[in-house]
Amino acid sequence: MCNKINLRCYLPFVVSQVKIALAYRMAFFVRILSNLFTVMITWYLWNAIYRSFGRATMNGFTFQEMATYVIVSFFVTVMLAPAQADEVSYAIADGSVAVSLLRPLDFCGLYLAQSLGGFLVNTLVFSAPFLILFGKMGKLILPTPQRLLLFLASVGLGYLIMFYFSFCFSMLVFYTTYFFGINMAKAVTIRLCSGALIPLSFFPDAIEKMFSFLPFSSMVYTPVMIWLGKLEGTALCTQFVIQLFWVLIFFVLSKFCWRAAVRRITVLGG
Amino acid sequence: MIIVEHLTKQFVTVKRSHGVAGAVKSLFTREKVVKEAVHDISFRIGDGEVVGYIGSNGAGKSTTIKMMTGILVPTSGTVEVDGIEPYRKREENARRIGVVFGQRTQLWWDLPLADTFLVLREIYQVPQKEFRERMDFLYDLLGIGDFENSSVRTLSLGQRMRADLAAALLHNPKVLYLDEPTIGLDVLVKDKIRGAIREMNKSFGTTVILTTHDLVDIEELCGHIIIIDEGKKIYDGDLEHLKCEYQEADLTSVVKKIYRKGEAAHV
Repeated sequence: MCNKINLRCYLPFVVSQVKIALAYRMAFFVRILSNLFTVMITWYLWNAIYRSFGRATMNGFTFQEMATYVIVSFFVTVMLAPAQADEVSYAIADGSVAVSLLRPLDFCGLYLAQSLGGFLVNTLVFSAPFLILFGKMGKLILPTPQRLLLFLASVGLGYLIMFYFSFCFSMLVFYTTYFFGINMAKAVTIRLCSGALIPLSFFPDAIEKMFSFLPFSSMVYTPVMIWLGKLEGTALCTQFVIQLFWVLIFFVLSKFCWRAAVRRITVLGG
Repeated sequence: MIIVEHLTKQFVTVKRSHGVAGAVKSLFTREKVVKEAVHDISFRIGDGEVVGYIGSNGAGKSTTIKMMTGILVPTSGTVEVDGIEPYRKREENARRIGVVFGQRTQLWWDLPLADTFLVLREIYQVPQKEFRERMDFLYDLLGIGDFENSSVRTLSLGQRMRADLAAALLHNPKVLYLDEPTIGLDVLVKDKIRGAIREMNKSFGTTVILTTHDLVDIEELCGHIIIIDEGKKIYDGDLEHLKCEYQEADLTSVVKKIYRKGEAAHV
């Protein structure tokens, strides 16, 4: 029998999401191309910035490190994208949440499993090959195997933070019908505050400090800094503890939000 | 055994005034309106019964079904399905029931149909042998074989509804809830759906709760009829008794009589 501990029941959601991601051929190739273009454009942009800047390092980043930062953070963003879990708010808003509620599974767990399918595809198909390719081309610094493992662990934690944060955030759909707008606002906030665009150390001190107290920096900035080897020893441990802390906070919060939300669900008609 | 007692569900909506002035006004003041979709309904359904749950559009049928399946939490009153309250133990209840919402699909839109069945097999942990037997049975009954490899989004409505019914029956549920399972279907597909419902009820003793606007469904399938109007129960009993009570020879006339009465009471 299926219960919460039995993860096998959630596995088909992971698998079916992988199949869905690969179901449309054109979309698949367009995604690959658009990823390539975005990376190339950012690379040339920073190349130009460093040339006109005239000095070898900027805020402690050499050009090679900066190129690595923007490329790796781009792919971390790609890997984390499914954790935005926009489907949760859409499903609640259009009533298709009814179908998910008919499954003998934990609601949040079901959506986590689905988003993990996307995470697998985005990591193995849309990120890893490109990171290896750019590494071989000498465009970015490759980490040692040990650092790579730490990076992956940190991405995993960042993923969970983003997922549970987004899940809590989705519950706002009960208070507003304009969820498209608030989802956009959330995505933009995350992009800016997580270090997905530029390293957080490029911001003025006060703002950098503020960002480090927010959960967003644990999503992208921390793993990329681990890749770069800029976090080591105690600093590294501290960041892992902070990541774990946020996972726990949002996990508990998501349970709480969901329990409050479920009473407000109204599925009208069909 | 399903026991529904004093079941009530209220929805709170915000009243909006029309026109530009109204739109501006509703930015600042909001008037809340409480709508009672289901009002103090009680009934009992025994194991193995096929129950027709009818009422005019907006009478509260779907809302009742959603509380019985555990999707909605009642405002007051209780539902008990085999000793558990579905909205309290949603997951446990979901394992024992099958549901078809005629206007929504529970199939995976982008996947071939056969994949959906495999996913469901995993979710409900149906043993391989049982799964094969049940699939053969349902494929035969509903004629699904021809389109099992098509993506769900390419299925016609008739095919999709048959597939949805098969998906709901895969884990041999004790209770089957059907919310307008024959909506928009042609005569032959309707026959297939009804045949499958009858067969499941006969061979496995599945309890069936059915809402529909097609009264032929009711006449052919249901031994027990519950009629609601404006969220209140107005009839609970068998077909013969219903015809007697309203002094009509056929169900259509009875139902028309009841709905008109409801309308008149409104005006």
